[in-house]
Amino acid sequence: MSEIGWTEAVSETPADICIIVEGAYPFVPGGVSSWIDWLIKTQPERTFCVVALLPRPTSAKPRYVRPANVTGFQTVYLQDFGARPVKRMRVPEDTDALAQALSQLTTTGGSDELADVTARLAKLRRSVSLPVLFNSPIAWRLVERMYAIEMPFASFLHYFWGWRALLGGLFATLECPLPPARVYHTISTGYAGVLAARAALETGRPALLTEHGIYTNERRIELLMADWVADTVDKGHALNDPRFDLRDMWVRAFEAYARTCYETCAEVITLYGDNQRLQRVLGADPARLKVIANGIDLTRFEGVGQPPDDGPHAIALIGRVVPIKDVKTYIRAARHLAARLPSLKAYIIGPTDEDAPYAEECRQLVRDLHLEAVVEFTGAVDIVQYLPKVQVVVLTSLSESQPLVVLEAGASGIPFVATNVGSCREILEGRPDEIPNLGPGGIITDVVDDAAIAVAVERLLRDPKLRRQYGQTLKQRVSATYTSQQAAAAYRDLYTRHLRQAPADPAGPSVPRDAAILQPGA
Amino acid sequence: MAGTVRTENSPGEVSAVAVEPIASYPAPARAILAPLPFTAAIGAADAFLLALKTLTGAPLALWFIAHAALVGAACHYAWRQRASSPDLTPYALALIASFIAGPAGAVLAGLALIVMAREPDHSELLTAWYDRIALAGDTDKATDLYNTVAMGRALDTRASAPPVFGSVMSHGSLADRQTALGLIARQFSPSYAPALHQALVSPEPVIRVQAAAVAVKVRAELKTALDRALERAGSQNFTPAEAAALAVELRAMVRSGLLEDDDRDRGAAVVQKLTAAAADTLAATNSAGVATTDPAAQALLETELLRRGSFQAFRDQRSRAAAAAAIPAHDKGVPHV
Repeated sequence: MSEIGWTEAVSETPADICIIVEGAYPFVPGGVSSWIDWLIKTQPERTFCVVALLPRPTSAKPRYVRPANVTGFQTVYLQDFGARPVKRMRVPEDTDALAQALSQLTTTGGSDELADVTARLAKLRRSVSLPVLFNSPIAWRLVERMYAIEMPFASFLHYFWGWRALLGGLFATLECPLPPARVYHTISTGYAGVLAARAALETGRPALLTEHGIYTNERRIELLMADWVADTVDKGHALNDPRFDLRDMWVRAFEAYARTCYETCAEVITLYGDNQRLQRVLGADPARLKVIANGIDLTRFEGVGQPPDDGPHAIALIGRVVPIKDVKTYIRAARHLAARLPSLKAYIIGPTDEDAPYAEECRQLVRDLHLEAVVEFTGAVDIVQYLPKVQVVVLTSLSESQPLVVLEAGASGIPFVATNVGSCREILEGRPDEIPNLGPGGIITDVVDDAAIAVAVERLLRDPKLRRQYGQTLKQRVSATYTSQQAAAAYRDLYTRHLRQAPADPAGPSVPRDAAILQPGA
Repeated sequence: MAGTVRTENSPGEVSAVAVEPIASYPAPARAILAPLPFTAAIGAADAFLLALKTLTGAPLALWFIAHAALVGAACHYAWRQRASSPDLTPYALALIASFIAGPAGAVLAGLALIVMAREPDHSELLTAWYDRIALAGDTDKATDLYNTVAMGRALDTRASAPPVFGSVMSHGSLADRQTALGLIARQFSPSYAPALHQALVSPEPVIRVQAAAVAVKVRAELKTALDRALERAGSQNFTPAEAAALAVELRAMVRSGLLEDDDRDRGAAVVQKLTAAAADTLAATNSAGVATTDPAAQALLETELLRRGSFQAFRDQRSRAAAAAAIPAHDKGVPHV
């Protein structure tokens, strides 16, 4: 993992900030990863270390060059936990109490519950390490007790494997060495949130949380729809059956982890106001909630020209070709438009390699709808080269937080048609506190509504005056509210406040047992 | 390692769940053979004592005391093994045989242990145990049903009827709406489409986002189901009742609003074709109707026959369906279109 500077090693000197991130930076490109890269680079006066939580060891290459102020990097694998099984081991008498505490942590969560579990595990660790414990008679006793407490009517075998997956991730998070740092900053709840909470409890240093999307809600949607989770209790179509099944176990666990993280973090930041509603529902203290919107570097888009009013009609969807972007709805909208605007060109600008089968389905849909001459997949390109050709940018996503692409199009003076997700409405129509309101910078439509999207896009394509007006409004709003400088300053202020409370003294966090010391230039 | 989890099903009633761990099954060969070196050591020591007695001419009583002391020391050793080997039977066998028959007893005990270890393995038993707790085995339906009811996994028939999804989407709590959308995603039927459309335009962003994800998932599933139904429609000969049933199934897909325009048009054309073919058969052959217990299929046939003015065929079909109890008795005389 030494590509482009990502040698796994942690400095003995505490970093100012420890970034904890799950399943993204630096291996997976995308909004969150780019944001972390931006955050680190815009705070050059601070040192960072990065803890990347991954399902298992990956052969994927890091997709970002390590910024110079990253002094440490560490990976934690969530699904590979456990040492060689041990058959004979004395089961301590307080194992049942540990089972009760673990059950409490994974069902209700909370910082006290996490502290209780970590204290009990610390006691056990004097005689046995967690990886050994996880494959020992103690673990068997734990799973038996927790099964009896939580869902004695469910299939034991299904519970057993669910427990292994869930607790394996939790134990990996509780076992991994904590890099020394003055402030711990997690980019989601989930396991990353638990690790940040553990860091705060163990070191007394502040933990911060920035949520782009609401992780718990994303997991809940995924789990409620998942076919891979076995339903072992026949609930019919009842919505409030009190019997907990495996699906409930997973959902509850992620809610509990979120609660633990919210309770422990000194500040809970998100990108736009509406996310705070969910955070409050999930147990976040309203007094700790804060919004820091993302921003972009306006200078990059200063010279982007506009296509001529009488030129061919061109629209673009800018983003990865993955299901969450609902590229198929964009293609269907292009079909409606092409029937009415024969000169239409519809670009799909973004990488197609992240979900190759889905990208192929999209290509097949283009063929099925006979749109080969209309729709063009450009792959990953520099959008600044394409924006001058485009009159309207479209976003058909099913879910977003604060999509940078809206800001980028806005900075170029191009109006936007977006589905009503994340902060799109705030960006296109203005926040409630925007005084005076600048007016619309684009059109919001419902999700998965290709006909409505086509109508909105057609309205802008057929009316150059309206298009210019919306484009200018959006540009004005982005310049006033969504610049990279504003966001960087807000994070600089946040870090300064919390670093003041966290002395540079290295006492507290443990230096990783097996981590090598980072060599200069590694 | 305790092997059974007990569950309180109702006050005073306790049922046991079979979760016995592997350790409680008959000891495997290596466990039985573990005392073999121990047996060999007793045999060798006893043989040495016997040889010493023979060579030195020591009195028999002295030899017996030494023999007894040897077996006693071996007993003490065996007792100390109980932590790692809960089953001391092989040790006991070796000790008793050695005490009674000296070195020959140790040899016999060793042979007996080898024979015992050659018992067939219990992998089938283990597999059966695993299948049983995984509910994956081919147990008979009665056992399955018993287990489901006894363990409390069965449908709760005392609970109130589940709410209509449409009203959940209008008035339900956030959690209920999310759960309902999960059910729609996992057990989609075209009849859930209105509730899904309602969710797609919900004022609650969380619901809109989840509904969109559900719509994308079920759209793909619906397309596959449509293709299969169309294939069936094109490759088989149907009775009027079968044709009507398939037409009803296809019509629900067509009306779901979740199909591509082309697919929807293809489906609608086949619905029309199947309905017309069924009505042709009923009207032309004077078949006195066909028995169908599917009210939707019956309604489809009746509507088509009425539309054509085939009143005799309509009456025949209605009588036949009423006879088959497809229509409630109080409704028999009223056209149901």
